[in-house]
Amino acid sequence: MEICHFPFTATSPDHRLFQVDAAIRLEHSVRLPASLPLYGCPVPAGFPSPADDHIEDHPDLERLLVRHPAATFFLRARGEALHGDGILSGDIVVVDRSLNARHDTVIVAVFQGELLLRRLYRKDGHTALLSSHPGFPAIQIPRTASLEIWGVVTGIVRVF
Amino acid sequence: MYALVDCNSFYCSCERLFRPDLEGRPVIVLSNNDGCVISRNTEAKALGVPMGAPWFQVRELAGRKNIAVFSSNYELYGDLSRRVMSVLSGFTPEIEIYSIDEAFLDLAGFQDPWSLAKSIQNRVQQWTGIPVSAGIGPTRTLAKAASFLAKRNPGTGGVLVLENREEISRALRQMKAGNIWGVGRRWAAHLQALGIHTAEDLCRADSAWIGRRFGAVLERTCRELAGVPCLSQERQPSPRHQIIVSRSFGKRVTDPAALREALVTHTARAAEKLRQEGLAAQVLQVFTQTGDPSQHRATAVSLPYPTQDTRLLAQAAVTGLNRLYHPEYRYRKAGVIMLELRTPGPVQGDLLEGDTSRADRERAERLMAAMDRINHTLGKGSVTLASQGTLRSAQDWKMRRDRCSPHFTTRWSDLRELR
Repeated sequence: MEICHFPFTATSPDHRLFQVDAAIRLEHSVRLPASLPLYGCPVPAGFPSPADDHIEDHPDLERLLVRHPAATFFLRARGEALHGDGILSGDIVVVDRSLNARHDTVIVAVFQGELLLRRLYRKDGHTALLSSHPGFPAIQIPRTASLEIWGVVTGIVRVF
Repeated sequence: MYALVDCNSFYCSCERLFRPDLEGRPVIVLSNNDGCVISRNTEAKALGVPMGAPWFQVRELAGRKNIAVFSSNYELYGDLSRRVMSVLSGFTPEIEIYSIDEAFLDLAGFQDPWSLAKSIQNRVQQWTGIPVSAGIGPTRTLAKAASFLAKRNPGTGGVLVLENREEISRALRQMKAGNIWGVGRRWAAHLQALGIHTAEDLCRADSAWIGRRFGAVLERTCRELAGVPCLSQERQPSPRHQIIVSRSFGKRVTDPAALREALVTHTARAAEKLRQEGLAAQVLQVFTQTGDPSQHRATAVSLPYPTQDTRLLAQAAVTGLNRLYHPEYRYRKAGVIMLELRTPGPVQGDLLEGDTSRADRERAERLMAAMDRINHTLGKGSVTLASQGTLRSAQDWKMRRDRCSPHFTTRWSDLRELR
């Protein structure tokens, strides 16, 4: 996609347009058009954007959800371990393997040959897999063992 | 310098990605219709499962040794293949897809090939879950040799760089001449008779003399071993068990008709190669590359039976393209890979076919032979398929795939579940 830079930020006092500029630059680095299509080209005195035809197309959900297409996989939640985080059984889970898992992020972990959806606790030398449902106790990972992380969850999709 | 990046036990690694419970277990993948073994992981190799063994011969061993057995799932392999290629092209746009699980990278301009190969290895593993090894050398043939050795010597960590003369000599001494890329079994026997046993012997042989005795192909191999690049993408030997034809477009293509035409042309060329080598393909994979944003896509289409019929293969290619095509993209490259090649043995009876099918196939064989003869005498492209628009859109044929894993990455209903 051709990215065009316009002096939105310089000419418009409209706060939202700052976001447009930010979104465009975001795409430059990670190819995420974020909220682009919602804005179009509202600069009153501005020139029409040559990219507008493209932008007005439709809000492309795949591009919103998938930042690294080569590394992003869709999996499905089965179980309520992260119920408290709003992830329900049946939800489609977007997993990006290119990201490094940080403390307090939702991840897919490999544990005893299974793929688990949990929140990662990694602090002060402690590693654990947390749930947000009373029925799923935290899984402590001993210091001597290493935890294999399958990927980092970047979103969920739920179709009613 | 060139790098050959090669996925380790690719099909098995694909199966393993979604099945962490298979860690440490032997895994094998069977060809379409569950015919024979086409991929083995390290554990299965250690048990002595031979490559290409018919399934009925290893069935007993598989049961006894708790081997995980899969029917080939080309939807999954194709998807992971394009992901791997896409990660590779993030390192350099100078990438040539060589087969479903191998690619050459032109490393001109990179300072430290070993570190680069290490980061490639790490990133492909992290992003796609597929382990790769890399061989690097001044020519494609040497890169191939380096990759051969990298895979077989665990001490290398899967990366071997052959840069200077001594390194190259030391490496080539460990390899039989017959293991060099493009040296077939028959040539290897001839070379042996002439006292050329190792790859180093071949490297030291006078290339002009080799050329007179064996022809230009082996002469080029010989010079490549000596460090003189003389293979282009067009000239390099076909991967074993696969035929790949692709071309970059002169300019970006958006017109679906033009895309289809190009792809059918590649398919016709690939079909011709099949017939030259007396082989038939059971699976055809279509792949595309787009620019801005750069995307690799691929899909596999199964054929009703192993075939070398241009018309059938072209239909399959169009089916594949219809799945991949998106009007929003500007295409810079398209190609086909013929997979699961075999000699087209006696045609098996098929319950779904009528009595006419055998006669049809014999007619098709004669037609294809005539087509090749005309094209050979009157020049390439004298006889081609008529307007591709008339091809019925082919459906995907049903294969026997009793042990097929779900289409984890290409079907909503098949997503891997998380607890």
